[in-house]
Amino acid sequence: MTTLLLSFYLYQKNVDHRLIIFLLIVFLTIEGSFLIANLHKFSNGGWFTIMLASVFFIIMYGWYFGRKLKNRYVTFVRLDKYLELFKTLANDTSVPRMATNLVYVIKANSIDQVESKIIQSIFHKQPKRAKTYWFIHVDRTDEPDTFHYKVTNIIPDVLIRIDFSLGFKVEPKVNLYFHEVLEDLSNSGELKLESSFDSLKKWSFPSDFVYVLIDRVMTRDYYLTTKENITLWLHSISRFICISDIKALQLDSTNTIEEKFQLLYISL
Amino acid sequence: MAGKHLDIKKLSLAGVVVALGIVFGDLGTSPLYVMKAIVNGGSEFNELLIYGSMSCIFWTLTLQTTVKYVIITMRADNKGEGGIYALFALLKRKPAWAATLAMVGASALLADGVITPAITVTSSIEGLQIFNPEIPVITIVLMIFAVLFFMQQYGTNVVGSSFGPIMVIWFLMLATLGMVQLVTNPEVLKALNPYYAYQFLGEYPGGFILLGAVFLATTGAEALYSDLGHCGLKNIRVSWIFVKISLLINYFGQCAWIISKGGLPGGVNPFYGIMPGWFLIPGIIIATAAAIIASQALISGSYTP
Repeated sequence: MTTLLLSFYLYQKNVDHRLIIFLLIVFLTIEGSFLIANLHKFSNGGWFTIMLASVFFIIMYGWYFGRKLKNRYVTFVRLDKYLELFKTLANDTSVPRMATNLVYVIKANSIDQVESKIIQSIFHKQPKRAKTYWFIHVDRTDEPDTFHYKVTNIIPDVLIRIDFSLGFKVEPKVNLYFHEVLEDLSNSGELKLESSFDSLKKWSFPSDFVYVLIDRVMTRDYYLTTKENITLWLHSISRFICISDIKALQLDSTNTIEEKFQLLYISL
Repeated sequence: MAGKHLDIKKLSLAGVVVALGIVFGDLGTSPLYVMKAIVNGGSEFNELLIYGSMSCIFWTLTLQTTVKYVIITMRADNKGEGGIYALFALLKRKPAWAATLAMVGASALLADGVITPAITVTSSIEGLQIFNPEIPVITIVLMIFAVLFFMQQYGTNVVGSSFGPIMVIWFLMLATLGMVQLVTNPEVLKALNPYYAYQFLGEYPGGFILLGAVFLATTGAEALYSDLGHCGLKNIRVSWIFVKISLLINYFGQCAWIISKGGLPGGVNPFYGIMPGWFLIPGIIIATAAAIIASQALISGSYTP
């Protein structure tokens, strides 16, 4: 497999095609011979290795392609339409506050966009009022050790976005990094971390945080091809076996809400 | 992170020793079981079986490991990181079939990582059967793995630093034991001629299927690539020279011994067969240590395919 992938890489790098074909022929002959010889061991225990490899493959396949398929249905909205709404809701005393700080883990790469599901979660369902809304975006880079963040005040004190760039070898301890960022902001005086409640303020209690993670689930309301259905089925198997998103992002599970949404949302 | 760590981009003695402990566990412990598997799998015993399979081992190690991984693939590093996923990340366009290929490769590597430790440790413990054929090998192996997995949660950094030096002893032992036998019958070196490999595959009955046993000599080669980020290109390349020479001397030594005995007397593993009687106990201890280090390297390596 490395042979095939390497050849494709060399091909993309415009290495002389004759050289690539030569390498392919030599190594595919050797590896093909080994494969055929090894298949003879199938009944003598070789089946076990193949079964194991298949299980690993199903997990990876379901994870990767299921995610890709789900991401195809992610829709984004422009944030600027909603900025006024955020300000109004944050100050609407007729809605009880859900938390002082409401933190969403979002996927939108662009700073002026957000997934429509996030907007739905805040405004369409039971409205979620908070003093400050946080959008956390984690970008896994192809470089191994990248580690930096950027804070954008979309609406100062009301809507703040933090972009983390983490290399693929850096553990995504989102909760820990978020708190480190908060500390930085607090030390530089940009933010007050004390409790927002008048009665608790003087006791210098810390502010409270609630995390919301959106999980998009499939319902049977729309038509997908057989292949897509199988992919989603494998995806749900891998999700069942693998660690949850909360654990994968190392969020504080004691105050994280996982909200389920239909993959496709028919807006009324 | 940076600063305290060994600068792996540079060639250093420490870097080479670390690479021996991490990269070459699987590849370096193959002499424990390859020759035994070949002779036991052979349909009839003759010189062609030994010369032909030895020739296959030599040319597989040269083409698969030296040429494919050490010379070509290891150049395709992703900012110092290697492995099939790093290679996938390097692609500019990532079509679905390329992703699937990367997954098949990584799955095979993981599955290999599950079974190889069992084979390696079992082969090393089997040496004890020379003293007492009744010894419960499987029970001992299960106990070793129970302890090994129990230790994982405490991290392996403490013992990790001793891995390299133990593997240096292991490879020196391979070379010495092999050399002692090789000098008694230097004629086996003619197996370097690829004609024997050709003749073996074509003429020896079931020779082609025996490639499955020869293949065991090259499992673990992918680790050279996937551990690139841990050890650095230059360190791995230099240590491979040392490892390959030690491995080949040992394989040739085993061949010389098998030919002088005309087979495997009493089904003994030729790896232990070439040891003088007084060296068996230290030999088994070193082999078991090397097998455990190899297993540990595979367990750690499985987290970065």
